[in-house]
Amino acid sequence: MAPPKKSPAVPAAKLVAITFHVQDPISQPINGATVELVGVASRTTDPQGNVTLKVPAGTFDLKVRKAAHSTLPPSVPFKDQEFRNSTFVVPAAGLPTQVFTLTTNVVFVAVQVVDPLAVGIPGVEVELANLGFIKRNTDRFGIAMFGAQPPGSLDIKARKTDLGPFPAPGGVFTLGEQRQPRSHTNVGALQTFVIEMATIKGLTLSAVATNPSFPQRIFKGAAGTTDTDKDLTVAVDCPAGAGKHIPVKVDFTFTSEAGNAPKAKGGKDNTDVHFAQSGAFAMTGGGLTTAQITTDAAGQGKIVFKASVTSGDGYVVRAAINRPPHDPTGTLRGEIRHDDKRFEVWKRLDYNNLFRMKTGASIGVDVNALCVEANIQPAYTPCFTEYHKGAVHDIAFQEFISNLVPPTAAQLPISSRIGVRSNGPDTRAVTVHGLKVAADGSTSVGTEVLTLSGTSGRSTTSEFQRVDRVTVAADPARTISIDLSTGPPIATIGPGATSHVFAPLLFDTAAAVKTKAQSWCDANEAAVTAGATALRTAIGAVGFHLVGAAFDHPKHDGRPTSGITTFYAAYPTVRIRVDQGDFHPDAKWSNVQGFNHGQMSVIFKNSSGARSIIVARHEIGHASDHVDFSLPGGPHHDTAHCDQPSCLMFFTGGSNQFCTIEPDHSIKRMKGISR
Amino acid sequence: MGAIYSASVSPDKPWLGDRMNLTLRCKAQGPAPHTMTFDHPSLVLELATVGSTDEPIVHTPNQWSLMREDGLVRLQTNGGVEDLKSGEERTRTVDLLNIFPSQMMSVATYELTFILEEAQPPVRSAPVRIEIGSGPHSVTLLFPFLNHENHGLRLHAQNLLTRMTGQTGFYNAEADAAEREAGIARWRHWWETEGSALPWDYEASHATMDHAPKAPPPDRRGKRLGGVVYQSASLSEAQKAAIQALDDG
Repeated sequence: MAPPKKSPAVPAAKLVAITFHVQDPISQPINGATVELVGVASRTTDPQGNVTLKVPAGTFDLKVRKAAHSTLPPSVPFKDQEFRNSTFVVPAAGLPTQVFTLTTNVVFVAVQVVDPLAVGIPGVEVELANLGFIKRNTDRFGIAMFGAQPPGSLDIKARKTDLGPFPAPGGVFTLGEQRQPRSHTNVGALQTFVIEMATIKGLTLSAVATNPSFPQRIFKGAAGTTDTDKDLTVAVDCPAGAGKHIPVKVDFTFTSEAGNAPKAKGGKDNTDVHFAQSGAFAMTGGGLTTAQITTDAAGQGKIVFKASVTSGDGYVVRAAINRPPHDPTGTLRGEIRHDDKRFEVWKRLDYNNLFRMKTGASIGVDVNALCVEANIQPAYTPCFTEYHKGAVHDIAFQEFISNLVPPTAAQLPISSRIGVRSNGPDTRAVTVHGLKVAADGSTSVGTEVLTLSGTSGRSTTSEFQRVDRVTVAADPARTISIDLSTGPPIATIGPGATSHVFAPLLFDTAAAVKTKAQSWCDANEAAVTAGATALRTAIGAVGFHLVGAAFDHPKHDGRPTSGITTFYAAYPTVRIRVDQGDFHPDAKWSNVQGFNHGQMSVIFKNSSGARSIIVARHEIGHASDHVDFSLPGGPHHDTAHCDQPSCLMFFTGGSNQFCTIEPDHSIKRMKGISR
Repeated sequence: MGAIYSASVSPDKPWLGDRMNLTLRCKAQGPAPHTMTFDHPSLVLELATVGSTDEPIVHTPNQWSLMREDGLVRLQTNGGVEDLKSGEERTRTVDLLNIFPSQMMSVATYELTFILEEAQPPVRSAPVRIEIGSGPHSVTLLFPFLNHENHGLRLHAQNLLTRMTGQTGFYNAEADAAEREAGIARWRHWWETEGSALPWDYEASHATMDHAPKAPPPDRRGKRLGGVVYQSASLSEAQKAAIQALDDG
């Protein structure tokens, strides 16, 4: 029998594994979805949304479905809807994972809370109030995810400490939750609702510094003002959009420093006004110790702080955004933000009354250099007074306030001519030795020779203030008589003698000469006073002013040779009284380095460096804003000077600094602290 | 050959309340023509507080002012330049309390320098250190200042004594001279009979209560004002309050 005939082999179809992934619109896997290649294979997805089918290459009818799911977009109203592709091609080479999206009848809800600049706010509690009070906190992008929610209306509430709802146009920042109803209808889609909330991002208190090197200094105005006003600006960053801000209420308070002057001494206390309205920024709160303004759409607000007028007083001003005025519930306390600024009250001393004698190269004391800040300010810093030197005014140079006034004839000692005659024929030459007087009254040691003419009298042409002796060649027979050119003889030179020596011979008494010399001195002092008056009138300055001059008077300039005279040389013991000192009238008198005449203070070149600075500081002190340095009826002259001899403001200028000795304490007076 | 300049202060270890004299010396080492001496108007005394950056206090002892009918005139000495023979000396003594009163009546350390500004070359002395110490001894030294002619110094002394002793009721600086003398006598009597027997705290800045002060320094000179130490049990409420008030300065 023949072996059976084998039928030809039919090759088995090669299978291709295709993986399907089914997910929802927010990429979450869908478990239990059916993937069917009709007539070939059908399986459901696992919890990861995946299923793998092994099928031969070919073209198939693909269906993906799950109960209560629809493809995207879902129909309205929602109904089940499968995915279908009747020409799904499976190539022999296979396919990558095939992804299909189905959705149930939900909207995927997200809420993003942003500020008005669209910057997400983290940590905001967001609540969907009508969906079982679901709460989520926003992440660092300001987003809170709520997942799938049935479509419909949402009652979204967002809240966070110190945030508030975005106000209506023109509204002011308030604390509280932002509540917004929204509709979510995009079934199967991720719908993000953006909620704006108002947030305060910063607060800055600032003031324009009058002195940028010392920004804490605030300056009292003109003398007599009752407050030291300082304009303050508060900037609150509560954005309402690009370049726009939500108005915010800002509270102002201040703290007085412990050492501030008490009210009874010229300071302020809490019964005084400390804040005032600035421009259009309406102020509430009374302004005594607190005040409130509302910032504008630019985020700025202004107010005036009214400090005391006592220099050295210190304050810390606080601008704060407090919770209570922004809290509709009235339950919150404390600050949201604050910024502090410290201020010191200072006085500004602009000294513009400097006058300097200067003509060409001839110059008096250079008060422009003397009164620079480096020389003056150190005394004023402890007084919280800022000194500024003004421009110097040049005036005509004069060497002296008054030149030397020569003595009148009546003020000069009596002088006399000397006569001689012989008692017989005689032609000898007689010499008179003594102190000769020149036409201007000055004297010099000298002689005059007279030739005798027998018994006829001969007289000197010179006046002598003093005669020391008369000499002649000896004659054994003749006697010479000496007289005062008239009158009886006062002495003789007998036969054989060659001279007569006087004691010396004077024609006036020391007492009389003292009176005459004092009169001459007084005339010179009066001339200085007149010169000072003329100078003051010529300058025409108002108020205290300092003049850099050359010298007072030749007798008062301290230089060794100027002003030396000889009018009273015959009377060396005579003394005149000048500035409580005793001086010979021909010598140098008191050494005057300066004087005050009314409100003009003149300083001379014979004043030494340290002293000049003391004088300048003292005179500038008069022009400062201060309370009286002493009480009326005090021991020293006037209330413009301190009674302490060691004080700069003692009438003599006792040192380079203001004193700190109670009860005078000139530093306190400079500050404006009354006794 | 020139002149040697120097300065010294006596006493060299002053107590608070001591009168202190500054003596300036200029001694020719050989013939010294045109030597500037202490009568020269440019003489300056400069007092600096050790450890302080504050500007030194400056006094010009040869310069003064007078009131005249038409105002004030500022004067200075004439002269102050001499030809000195070898070995010849010039001195000048200055009462420091008169020119630096608040400083000389404070417990502090100073350096005092004199300057002849217009000397060629300028003369600037080596600084003299003045360390003013305090202790019970100073209480006795301060009593005379309670009748000082300068009202300010009277008040200053009263304040110091009040801080040191805690006593406020004996004396009134505003009273007339006779009443002040009586007050001084009362205060002095209290000190001699009671106060000086109390412990003294050299490290305190005023009178205190109820603690044991540290042992006194070896020289019994404090670098702070110091004050007596009371047992509060021995004090009335008013006295205790007065001492507590010292804490506030």
